[in-house]
Amino acid sequence: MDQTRSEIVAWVGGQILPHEADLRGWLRRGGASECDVDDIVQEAYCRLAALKSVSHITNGRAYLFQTARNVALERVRRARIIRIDYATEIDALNILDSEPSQERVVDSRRELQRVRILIEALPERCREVFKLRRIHGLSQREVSDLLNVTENVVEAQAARGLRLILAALAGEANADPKVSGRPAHEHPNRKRGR
Amino acid sequence: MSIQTAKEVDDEAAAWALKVDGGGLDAEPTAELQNWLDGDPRRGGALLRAQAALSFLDRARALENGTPQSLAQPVSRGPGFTRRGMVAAGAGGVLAASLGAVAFLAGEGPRYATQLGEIRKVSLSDGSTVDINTSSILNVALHTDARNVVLHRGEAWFEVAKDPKRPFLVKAGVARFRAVGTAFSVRRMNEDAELLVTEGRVEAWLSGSDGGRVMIDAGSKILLGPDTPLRPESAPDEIERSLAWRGGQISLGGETLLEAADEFNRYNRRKLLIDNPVLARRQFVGLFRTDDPHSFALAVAATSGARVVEDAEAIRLR
Repeated sequence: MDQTRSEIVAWVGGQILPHEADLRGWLRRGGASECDVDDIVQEAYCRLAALKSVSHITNGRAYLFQTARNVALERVRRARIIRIDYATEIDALNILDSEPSQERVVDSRRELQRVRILIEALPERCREVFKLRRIHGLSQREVSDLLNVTENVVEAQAARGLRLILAALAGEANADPKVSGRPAHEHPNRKRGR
Repeated sequence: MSIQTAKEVDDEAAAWALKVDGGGLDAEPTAELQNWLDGDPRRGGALLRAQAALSFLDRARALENGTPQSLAQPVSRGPGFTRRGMVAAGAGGVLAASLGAVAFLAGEGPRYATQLGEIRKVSLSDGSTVDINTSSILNVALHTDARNVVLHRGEAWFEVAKDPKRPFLVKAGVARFRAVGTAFSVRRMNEDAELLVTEGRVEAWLSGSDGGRVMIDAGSKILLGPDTPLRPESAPDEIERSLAWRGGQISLGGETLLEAADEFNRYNRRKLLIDNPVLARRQFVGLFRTDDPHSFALAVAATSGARVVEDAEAIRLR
């Protein structure tokens, strides 16, 4: 049976997105360039967006990694110049190796802590707007009145906040030592996210 | 319309996620949103991701409330590498280049030969080293006033110890290369010889020709033969890749499969053959072991959809 959009979005928010940074590290370990990683991750989300239901997926993280690996291999095969070593690396990447430690899966306090850190890292104005909108649940109009700025400013700051948080979710070197312990080469534009 | 980068798509998606959030996720998309989504297949995924991020944050609110192996070997002198050869040559007292054929042979020094697939490192008594590639034959004569190498077949990379009093001369067919202290490789290909310079400078010319001499700098190469122009070419990356054999590897940087097969076939008795002309022209990038064409063929098959057919004589890709 099809699920509603909000059910799928909630599932992606809880089961997929928290693993995105690990996925990116895993792909880089397989030899994907920064540009490849962006495109592969985007395509993986496109495939998730095409699903009518996610209730058959028992392990979101493994599903995400498997999907990304398929995307990466298809891209290699389509390329004008075939990078064999990269293809074999991607192929050899072990889904099991990507498993996070058990406590990380169950510890919701850590997840909360992670969100707090993401929000606290936003620039001041942006953080203020973002907290009022997302944490305190004020409407755009209410925030506009409270801060004495136009609704356009509130809208722009909220969008900026979400963009920065998305970038941080993509780039943060998080608690998984299997990922963060690797040399961080070839991605000069990731510094901001750390 | 130009194609957006992944980041531009993400940024627009963030703005849309916030807009839709107000109107409710499960409502039908507005015409404007649908129009945006239809503009690029990536946008649907990016929107889902941005909405998922908002959901992730909302969840927090809910929680708050409740090597190749080294092939370097120790000194491995060929038989007959003794002072005898040097004394004999020294008695000549002149540069090998000016000696007659017989005298030259007498002063050719010890011979080194590698088998098919063999890669060998030789340390010379003057402190120089020679890495000898597959199926190669060369003689090395160290005289008091000159160091002479004759490359009869194959390829070698020389790391020459500095000694201005004893120039290091390599003969390869009609090609001549001279260095004082530098590193370079020479490969014989029928009449021609290719020089790759990895360090310092090397002087190159053709024997018996008044076509002049040319200095080749590190990072450059030249193909020298009876019918080739004296024109060096700068190609530092290609040179580095071309010399991967010193570590027992083949480094492909966009060569066609046909060229790659030729390269593997330099090292192995069991030949790699490409039966499919379209496949033969496809280009590949990767680092492989010289002695493992089997794995290479499997990797090609896995990435290109080709089929591998093997027998005792050959590995065929079709």
